[in-house]
Amino acid sequence: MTALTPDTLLIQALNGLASASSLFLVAAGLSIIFGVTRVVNFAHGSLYMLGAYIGWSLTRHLASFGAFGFWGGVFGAALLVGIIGVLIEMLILRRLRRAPELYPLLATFGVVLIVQDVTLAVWGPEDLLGPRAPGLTGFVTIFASRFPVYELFLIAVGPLLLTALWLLFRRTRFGLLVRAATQDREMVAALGVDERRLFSSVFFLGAALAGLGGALQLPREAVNLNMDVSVVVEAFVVVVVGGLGSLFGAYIAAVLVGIIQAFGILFLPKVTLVLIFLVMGVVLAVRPYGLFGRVAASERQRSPAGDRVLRPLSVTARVLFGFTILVIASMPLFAGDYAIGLIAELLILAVFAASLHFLMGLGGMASFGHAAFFGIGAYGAALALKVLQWPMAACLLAAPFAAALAGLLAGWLCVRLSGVYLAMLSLAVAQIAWAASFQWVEVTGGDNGLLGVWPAASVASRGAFLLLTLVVTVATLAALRVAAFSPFGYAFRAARDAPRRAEASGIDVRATQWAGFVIAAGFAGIAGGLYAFAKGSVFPTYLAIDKSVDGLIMVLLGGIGSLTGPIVGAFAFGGLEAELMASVAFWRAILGFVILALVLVAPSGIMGLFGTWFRKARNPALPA
Amino acid sequence: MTQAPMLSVETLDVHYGRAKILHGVSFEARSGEIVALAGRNGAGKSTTLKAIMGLVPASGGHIVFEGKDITRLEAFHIARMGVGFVPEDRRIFTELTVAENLAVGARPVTGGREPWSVERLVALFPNLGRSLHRLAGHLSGGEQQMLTIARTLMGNPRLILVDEPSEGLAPVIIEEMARALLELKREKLTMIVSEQNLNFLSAIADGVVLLERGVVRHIGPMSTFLADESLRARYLALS
Amino acid sequence: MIEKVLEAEGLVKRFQGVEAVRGVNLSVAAGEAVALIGPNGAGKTTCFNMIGGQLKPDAGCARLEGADVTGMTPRRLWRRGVGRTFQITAAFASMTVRENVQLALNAKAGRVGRVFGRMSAAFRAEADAVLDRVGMRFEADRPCAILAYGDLKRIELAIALAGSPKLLLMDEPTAGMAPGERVQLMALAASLAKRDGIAVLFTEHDMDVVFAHADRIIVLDRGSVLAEGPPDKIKADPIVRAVYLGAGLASGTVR
Repeated sequence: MTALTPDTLLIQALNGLASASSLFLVAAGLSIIFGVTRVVNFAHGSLYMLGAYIGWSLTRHLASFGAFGFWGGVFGAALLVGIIGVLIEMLILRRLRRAPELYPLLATFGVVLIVQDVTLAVWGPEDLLGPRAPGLTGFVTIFASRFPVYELFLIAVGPLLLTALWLLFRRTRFGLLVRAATQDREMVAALGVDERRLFSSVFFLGAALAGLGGALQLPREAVNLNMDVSVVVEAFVVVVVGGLGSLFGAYIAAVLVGIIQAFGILFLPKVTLVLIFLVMGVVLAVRPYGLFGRVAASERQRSPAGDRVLRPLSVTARVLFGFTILVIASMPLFAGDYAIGLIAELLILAVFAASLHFLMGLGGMASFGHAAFFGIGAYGAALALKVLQWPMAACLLAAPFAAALAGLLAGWLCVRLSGVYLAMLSLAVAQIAWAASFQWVEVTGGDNGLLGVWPAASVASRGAFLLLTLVVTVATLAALRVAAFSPFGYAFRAARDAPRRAEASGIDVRATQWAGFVIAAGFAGIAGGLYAFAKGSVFPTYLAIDKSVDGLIMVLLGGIGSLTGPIVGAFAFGGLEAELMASVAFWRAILGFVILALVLVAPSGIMGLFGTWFRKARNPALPA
Repeated sequence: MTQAPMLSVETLDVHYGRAKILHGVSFEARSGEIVALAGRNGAGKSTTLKAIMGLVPASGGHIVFEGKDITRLEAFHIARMGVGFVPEDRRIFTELTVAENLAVGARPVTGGREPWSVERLVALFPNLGRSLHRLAGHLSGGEQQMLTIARTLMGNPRLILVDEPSEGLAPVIIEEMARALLELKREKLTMIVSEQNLNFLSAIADGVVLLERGVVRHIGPMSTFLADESLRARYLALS
Repeated sequence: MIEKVLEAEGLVKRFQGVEAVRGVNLSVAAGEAVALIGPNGAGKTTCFNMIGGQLKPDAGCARLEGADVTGMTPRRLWRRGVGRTFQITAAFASMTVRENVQLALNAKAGRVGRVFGRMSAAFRAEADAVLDRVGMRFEADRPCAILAYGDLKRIELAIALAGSPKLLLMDEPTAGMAPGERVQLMALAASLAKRDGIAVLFTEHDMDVVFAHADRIIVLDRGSVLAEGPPDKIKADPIVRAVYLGAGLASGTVR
């Protein structure tokens, strides 16, 4: 461990403050965009990354102009990224204004995938070293240590921009309109304000801030392809810890995160990742709306499920399901190994998606971290097999048990919140689990994962394993259906539809939601356990944010209004992803375009689209 | 009266999703008139006002304001042409001060008349003058309703659409509201007021449009409506 | 002595140091309908939420049939027989009319923790009986989301009645309804209350509804009780007229 001298402490504190500035820029942009447009912009990290890459190219081209070239490159990058932000808003998000809250989010995730591949294609996979800032390349001596002048400059950038933004919002008409639109954008439009121009300028501002944040990192760290997701997750943490809509809160939270990181590296290098999310969890447990956030009283809650009454399966649907089960069960007789393996995987994904749908669709709790329980289930099964030497059946039982136990803990925290806050907190909880699986090498094997998780001899063949998976899947999906129509299922929906009404009718809303959370976690664990055996190995990626987003996409793609939706979504998205990954180089970009296309064309999901077609076919007079 | 109406709504249809809310609604408002949109909740009063304002899309028919077709225009465009909207549920910006609320609504005057200013509005709604720098969310319900109207007036509209102005207000406040609206009428402001309180309407409105399940059931002068026992019975009765 | 179902004494609530309710006493007897009226911001809803358990009073107490229920959660109050309807109508929109009532009946029976067994089979007849009382039996299979506003209000009443309450709290029960509907809904609630001996406390801005159906009226102003008494006395009270009632323009029927 490093020696604890006062100057190392001070230097680390200064380091923390310096990294807080860029983070604040990204978080401020995210917060402003969310405030006005209600879009959780997952692509905000991509804009940050683009700022760094574009800044890298510009500063290189302008290198001969000295200081002017560097700063011209940095601000040019911010400007260009701002314009890219406007394009994203105009081409994609504007068309989704009347869609449910989660669709724009899904669309921005599509943008993330596209930007990843575009960046890879343009700048290549290597890390790129940026230029030094002319005039700020020196060092100052603080006690006995040398400290870069550029870092001092960055420390000043944060408060300076905070002040500038504060003045912008308090002293200008633009700021006034932004604050008003944050509360009620429809009313602002009715008062004669061009909503579209306001949205576009807000997107420009937010994106340019992210781009500036990225470009300012050039002299500090190498530009790389992983900047996007890591920064956007941190920015979420900052925005939520600071309190949505509070720029001052965002700055304080950015400083908090920066300092924790700086000192974490010094004292607890093994748990730095966990530490940030732990702090977030603690803050939100004590102050559910963040340090400086207030309860959003005026927020109009809309149920993502659109108030649809659940009906028992129609005869047609029963026949279709029966037929599908028969076809899958007979696959070992005619299909090849690849197809059998793929279908088994898709069945497992269907269980995962259905468990998330239970939470989101019925409970109204959109979790951004549901993969945590999938992964914990997988690790639970793998560890039971490898460490405890349990038989496979017991391992498969251990999976949901481990996941439900984790759900019990996570749920206690999460059900206290709703909406975006819940989504962010669940993300944080999942990141803790992910970081633990990544850094707790002794138990989880870290990045190398746990290998050799092979099924028992009786189900070792692909065909036998498919049948096992099919049986478990059908049983699981049936159990979720039964739960949905049980008194508990109704109480769970009641807690979503009208929590105050439910509470005044004798339903313990929080306990019901907590129980629902645990059930959903447990079922995700079943999927995770099966997945471990299907793959023969378990990796931290099973808990990663991508996996959680995959789940969200499957649920939304299938259509959140019916219990069949997630199953269809899992097959459509999982199948597409597997096919693309196997055969196309830039599969991410293609997947991104597919997501965008589906979100723009079928905002009620595949099942919703079918429903509309079906109704139209019967009654052509109906409008779309 | 042969002068062209200020606003005419012609066979207006509106859908929410698959449900048809308005079925061919037609009526007119002449300059300086207060037209009452009456009917029970869910009859389509709010939807009619929102469709005129461009806040919900019309799926059929036309809306013509001062000779120009505004059916497909965006809300902000319609507002800039001189139409103001006063929503139900007092949708003020609670986190902004009263003065800031008024500033959001401020637009330059169109058509040579005396523009509204904070001073003139304070004269009309004295309570607001005492609270200009307080957060709007701290006002009482009645004051908030006054602010909603004042904010819209700051845009110097020639026609205002007022949605359920008396809902949830104490009787004394309702009387003040009626007084303010009559004052605005003297300023030659045209108004379409959606309302269920018949007494309130009888005190202010010139004409009445009676809506029932998205269909216009009756159009006529307020006095005829009040005198016609069977019409009133129908309005008051449950269907 | 008449048996009081609800007695509240010295209720006080402060928000950020400002006293919204300053020492309110009130009581409601079985079968009695008491209206709580007053200007906007007088503290009616705050009072209501303290009695209904949505807010904890800073001082004072509430007793239900003599037992102290101050600060109890809405859920526990409901178990003890307090039903309520909300100003902003909130039924369970993703369910049918019958399912709304069935769920309340299941909750009453402590069955909402059950993960197995279809709810549609449980308390079906009982739910229909409750719906009959509010005249919604024939709408039982319709989804709540497509109901007209007035019907939604009745569903709320049905949900509250499903708990066989001793005390019914109705916050602006007729807000947003047409005049004819208003009187009818409150007449329904009042007659059910009289028949089953339910104590009813309601807030209301429609004076026709208040004067037609309240046995007693309590007028709040700035957090305190300004006047209390039977409708005729309140109607004639000059202070109440000045602070609240005005010249009578606001009542729904034509003079």
